[in-house]
Amino acid sequence: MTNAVNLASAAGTGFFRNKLINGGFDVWQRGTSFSATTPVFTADRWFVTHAGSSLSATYSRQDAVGVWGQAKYYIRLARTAGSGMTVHSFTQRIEGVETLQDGKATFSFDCRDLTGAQTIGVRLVQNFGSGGSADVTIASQSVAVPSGSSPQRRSVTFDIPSIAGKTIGTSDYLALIIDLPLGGNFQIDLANAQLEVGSVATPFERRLYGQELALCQRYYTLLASQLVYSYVTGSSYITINNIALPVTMRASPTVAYSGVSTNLVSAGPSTNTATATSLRVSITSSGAGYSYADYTVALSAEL
Amino acid sequence: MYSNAQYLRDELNGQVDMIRLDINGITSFVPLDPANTDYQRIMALVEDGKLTIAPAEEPTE
Repeated sequence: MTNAVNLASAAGTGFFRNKLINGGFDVWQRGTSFSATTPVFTADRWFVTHAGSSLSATYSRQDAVGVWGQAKYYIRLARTAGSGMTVHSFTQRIEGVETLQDGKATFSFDCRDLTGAQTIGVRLVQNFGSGGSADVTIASQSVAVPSGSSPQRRSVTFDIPSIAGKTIGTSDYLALIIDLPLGGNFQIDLANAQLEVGSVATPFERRLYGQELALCQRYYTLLASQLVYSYVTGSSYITINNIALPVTMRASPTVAYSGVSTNLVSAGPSTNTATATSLRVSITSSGAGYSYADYTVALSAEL
Repeated sequence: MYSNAQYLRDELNGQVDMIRLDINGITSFVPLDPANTDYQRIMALVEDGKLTIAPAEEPTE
């Protein structure tokens, strides 16, 4: 107990001081390697956007054990070809534009590039949501990414404006944006990303995997091996299953199915309703017998 | 990014509560929730005349 009290005191603001979710890049519900579509979500909560004439890039999970202290994974952002790039950025949107407003905030992270030194930019954007005030951008700061196999920890501190007097609409957020180099190729590795209140970078807050997964599931949930099933006496019978979601999502989610396997189904799986707490999936039978659909479903309530 | 959109009815109560469409070629279902960012983008495209949403089929019973 004494240790816990001391740790909280040292941090100044107690636990969950890291406003980023999945800053340790531990949760990868969508997969572990992604090509350069735009936008593309990579590790949970993190997405890449780009604009330019052409781009060949891969964003992937890498094994960090023995390389990056206590980290299990890190993310590699690798560009192997590109021309006319005007945007190439790596972003996380933090729910609630009030986050860290009217004060100092510090972003810290470990980084390296095995192929050569790079310079990246880090900026914050206050977005007031649909129907809200115009975006406020907090000026970008340059960060040197070291060359070689030894990662180094970097930090930048921002003065975040007050949101007093602003109109807050729907789905507002604070965005942390890492602007990748626009010229040349790179292989930037990032780990242990943390955004916290104040002007001092404290040690990376490593949360339990279950905690981090639950935080991610508010925005994206992948449910594998789902089944909607019934015995019917003919065609055109509708079977509906109700699924309670593991975490209340930020909004009613967008739903997409994959890996579908069916028997005696003429339509579906289809979404009957989707709310922040539950999903109803339906199928329509094509004849008498066991009518079912086996599927994986992805639910997205990202910002 | 968004194409082939149509409103869908809740099969239990007949209310229109969903849009079925392709998002990057993947069949998806978007609830009519103003906080859903896909719904926000879809409505912006509709407002700009860049996307049309077909009406829901009439209930069968």
